[in-house]
This record gives sequence, structure tokens and C-alpha cells, in this order.
Amino acid sequence: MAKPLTKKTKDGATYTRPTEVEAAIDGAIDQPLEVIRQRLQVTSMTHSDYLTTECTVHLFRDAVARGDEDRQNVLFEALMRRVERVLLYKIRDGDLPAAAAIRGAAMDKFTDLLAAGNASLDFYEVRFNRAFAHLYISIIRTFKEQPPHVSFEDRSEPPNHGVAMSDAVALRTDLLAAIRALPPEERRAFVLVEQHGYDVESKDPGKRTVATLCGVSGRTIRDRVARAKKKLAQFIEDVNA
Amino acid sequence: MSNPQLSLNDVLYSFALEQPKPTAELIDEYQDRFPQYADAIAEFALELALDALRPDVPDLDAETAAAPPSAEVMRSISHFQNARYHATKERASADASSASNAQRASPINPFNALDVSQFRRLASDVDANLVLVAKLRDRQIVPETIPAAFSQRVAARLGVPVDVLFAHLSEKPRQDFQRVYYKAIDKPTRQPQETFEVAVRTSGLSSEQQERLLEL
Repeated sequence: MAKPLTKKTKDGATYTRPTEVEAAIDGAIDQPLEVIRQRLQVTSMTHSDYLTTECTVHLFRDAVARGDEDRQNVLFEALMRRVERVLLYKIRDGDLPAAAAIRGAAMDKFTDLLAAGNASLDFYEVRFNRAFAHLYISIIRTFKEQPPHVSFEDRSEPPNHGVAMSDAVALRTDLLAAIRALPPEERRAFVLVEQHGYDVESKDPGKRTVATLCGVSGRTIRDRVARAKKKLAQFIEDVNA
Repeated sequence: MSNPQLSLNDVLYSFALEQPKPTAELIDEYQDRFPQYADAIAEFALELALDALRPDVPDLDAETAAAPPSAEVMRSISHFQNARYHATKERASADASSASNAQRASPINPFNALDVSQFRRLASDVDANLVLVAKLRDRQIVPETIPAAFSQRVAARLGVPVDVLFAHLSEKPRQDFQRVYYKAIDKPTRQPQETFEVAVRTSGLSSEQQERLLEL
């Protein structure tokens, strides 16, 4: 059985890995490096030999604990390939200013976590993609002050680094860039209403609403959301034209 | 029950692990539990919501998986190997420093390895008795008053360098009585250190032994 995690949940309990991650670790932990190497070549996530990234993180930590550098190197490279792929999809050039720099910084930060054996790696053994989202979002936030170079008037086709995208995926990416290009108050109102599902306002003065969170009236929020939607609709129309 | 000891980083990791896309209820719950991080949670939730709009990452194709690593991955490998090298070096340095500190803080007691019979033999070999050797073990003799010839003799019989013996003798007298049983009503108190001469005179040695030791 894999070594228990140490990080605590918000309730004070210790995190545990999902059952399927535990099972995958149990199956892989004593496999020879050559078998692990072959399993890392399996690319279909539904294949029985596929090593999930959560499991791969654990195997890497275990290799560090054992002092097995060959195993560490193989697992590290596999992890970084996956991390790079996630970043190329999630932080596409044109989606964010300095996207390449953000991707590079995210890879460096994850490398540092692995090299230092940081306890935060526990989160990555529970749900890798969500934990990793925290990491690259924290990097995005550090770049936040830079003005977006995407505008509704001037959009250029970003390079895709060999990552093929369907039209639907490309539209979603472009839409995200368009949301980012909204004025901050419109973007915030739009996300709070449309993404988080907050009420615009409430008669209950103790209830958190978009109006109370933004410190303006409900009418102002409705205006901001309406302006944001109009711009986004126009954007989609332009893209489809 | 909330866990107010969590760092902001851990709170945001926990938040991210909860749901793929944060809801108003989840944000409110976290902000209520961790009011000190309320603003950061709100900002993070906004970014997480935008992240949920980003496309999912599809399976890797076999050709890409078999391809050589990209320049970015190669850079990370190099970064990792450097970090590992420095971490190993720092650990080795910290271990050496810690061992050195431990040695400074608590020099090896060369008498600890002796069992009762070896202890008796040592006493005999250095032309002393159990009482005098016990005083050495318990650092009850002022080290500077011990003749060098006697120190060398004891060190040789113990199989340690003289400086190791001297480091032990130079430490404060032992304060631990807990492993010894006493018949006295009161717990014994530490006696002040004696000079070598006083120690020899008060250890029950024969007069001939005393003379031989004090002539060293």
C-alpha cells in the first residue's frame, strides 16, 4: 500500500487518494523500470496499462525515496511531457499575454516541486489536473498586470506548437481570450453571474450577491453583464463570418 | 469543522480539488471558513472559472509520445538535474554540519561502549581502580590536572585518540542520575569536580598506586 498522504483538507482530515489511484500505484510500484517505461508509452487514458498522472507522480516520489535515479529520470521526463501538453492546451499563445513565458514558468515551478519533494505533491496524487490548474493559475496571476494583447479589433492566428485543435476547441479558446479582453468590471460581473452562478442582487441583506461583491447596484451589474454578452456575441458572429 | 491552520496555498489547492468549476456556494463556503483569504479565493475562483472554459486535453497520440522531448522538456530536465544536484550537495553539507554540531554538542563518551568486565579490566590496565575510572567516566576530575601520561594510557586502553578522551573529559559533568538506583533517601547531588590529585587520594587506591599515579 502506498505511503499515506500528509496534506490536510479544509476540514482537518488527511487527504486520501481515490481508490483507483491507490490500485494503480499498488500495481505499478514494484514493476521493473522497463515495464514502467513501456507503460508510459501507452497514450490512451482508457487502456488498462495507462499510467495516470496521479500514479506517475507517486512513482516518481517513490523513486526519489529509494534513491533510484534511473527511475526518477524516466518518470520525470514523462511527467514533464504531460505537463507541457496540458499547458499548450490550457495556455495557448493568443489566449494570454506572454503565454510562452507563463508556460515556461509553470514548468519551472512544477520542476521545483518535484526536485524539492514538496509536500504539495500530495494534491497532485489526488487529482492531478485540478492541482496543476492551481499551479498555472498562480503563475497567470503573477503576469496579470501585463495588458492583454488580444483585442476584438486585432486578432492574429496564434501558433499552435503542433497541438492540433478542432474548430469547436479553437472557438472555445478564442472565446476565453475574448472574455479576458473584456474590461475588468464587465469580466468580473459576467463570470460571477454566468460562471459562478451568483444572484445579481437579493432582498436579503446578508446574502452575497454580485452587487454586494462588486459594491454596486444590481442594475449596474445587469448593465455590465449585458454589455459583456453583447461583445461576446459580436465576437462569435465575427469568428463565424 | 474548519482547519484554520492551512496556508493560502493549501486552501487554494483544496479549493481547486473540490470541483472542476467553482460555484457560488463553494466560494461562499471557503470565504466563510477562511475569511483571511477571502479576496484571494474570489480572484482564484474567477481564474478557475475561466480555466474551465479552456479546452480539455485530449489523449496523446503514439507518434508524439515516441518523439524526442521538446526543447522545453529538455530545459526542464536540465533544470531538474541541477536542482537535484544542488539539493544533494546541500543535504550532504547539512548532514556534515549536523554531525559536526552533534559532535560538538555531545562528544562521544568512550566509556559507554564498555561492559562491566571491560570496565574492570580498564581499571586494572591503567593501574587504577573502579572508583577512579568511574570519576573519569563521569567527568568528575578537572581535565587540566590529569597528567598527560595517564590520559594517553587511558586513551590507548579505550582505543580512542587522546583528543576524543579529552573532549569527553572537558564536557560538563554528567547530570543524569536516572539510570542508577540509590539507597539514599534524597536524590544524590552533583559533587564539584576534583583535581587529579584529590581524585587519586580519595578513591580508595593503595598508597603504592597513589604514589605511582601521582608521579606520572
